[in-house]
Amino acid sequence: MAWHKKPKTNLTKLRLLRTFVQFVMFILMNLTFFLIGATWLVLPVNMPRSIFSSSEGAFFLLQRMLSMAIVPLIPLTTFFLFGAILGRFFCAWACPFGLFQDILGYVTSWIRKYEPTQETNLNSRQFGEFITGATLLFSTFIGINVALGEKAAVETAFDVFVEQPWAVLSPSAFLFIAIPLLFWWGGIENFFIWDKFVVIDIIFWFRLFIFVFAFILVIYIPRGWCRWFCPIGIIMGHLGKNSLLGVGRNISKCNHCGLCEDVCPMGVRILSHPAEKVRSPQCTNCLDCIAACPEDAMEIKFL
Amino acid sequence: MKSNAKAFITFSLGIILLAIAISTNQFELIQEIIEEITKSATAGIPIP
Repeated sequence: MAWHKKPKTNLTKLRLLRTFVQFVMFILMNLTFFLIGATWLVLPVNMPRSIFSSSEGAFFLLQRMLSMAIVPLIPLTTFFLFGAILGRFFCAWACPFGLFQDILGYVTSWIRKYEPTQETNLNSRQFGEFITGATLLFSTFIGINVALGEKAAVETAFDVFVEQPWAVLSPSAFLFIAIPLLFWWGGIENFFIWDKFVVIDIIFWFRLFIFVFAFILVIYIPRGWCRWFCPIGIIMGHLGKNSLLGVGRNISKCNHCGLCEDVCPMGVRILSHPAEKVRSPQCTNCLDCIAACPEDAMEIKFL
Repeated sequence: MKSNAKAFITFSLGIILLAIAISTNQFELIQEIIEEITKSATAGIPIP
């Protein structure tokens, strides 16, 4: 397993570099907090827009636009363009929720991690497929009602789920919006007086449950949320499976030691994929396999 | 169909969607959404 084995020096350097890039991207995506300003930039990352954000995650904008009965051209553009060229690259190198999972995995590296079978990994993506499909269907349903002039009725019926249904339940929204806004409005001295700033109802407790579930999942399964539940990962996995950027294996150098599979944070069975290029919906182009390979058999492929 | 061909088709679709988005001023809509979020957040509306 990736985290309990002492990584090689190259792998350590790569992971430090990736963490640094992730932090820089997190700051750039939240420039508003540093009073620089919000932009129309939409990225394939798991981060909803808040007052701190200078950009927005494409899936959250997709929900919002469908609910407003607007054809979501901009988020679809993001998915198609980035997916075709880079695959799930943003998952490994830019996503703030991915950064959160990596840091959580690192600080709990003393806890034994589990690596599910490939069958479990691929079958469990059905959870994410369900979340993605249900969210898009529901948002489309809301949008149709809005277009028919029934906006008030759906707002009464579905309350907070009308605008961005998945954002209400998403652990990334809880982490990047709910918690920072508590500090923004109340200050630390009021942080525990939640009922002043947060509606404490069944939805709140369900959100908290999902966040705690994701928290515990990621401690035991590296990037567990990315593997099985993230809607952005599901969409980018489908579109990015045939991306121009990928990793391949030089058969003449590969000795099938399996170290590439051991260090893969997404549990991709690299050796079972064609050597030309790993075409897994789980591969995030993190390049850990390239850094870890003792024979330099793994290589970046483009085109 | 070869994987690179699929990637180029996906990319081409993305370019077409981008062109339509620009021509229909969808980026202005994003600006309106930003202003709406900022307005509701600074008004101290409780988080649902």
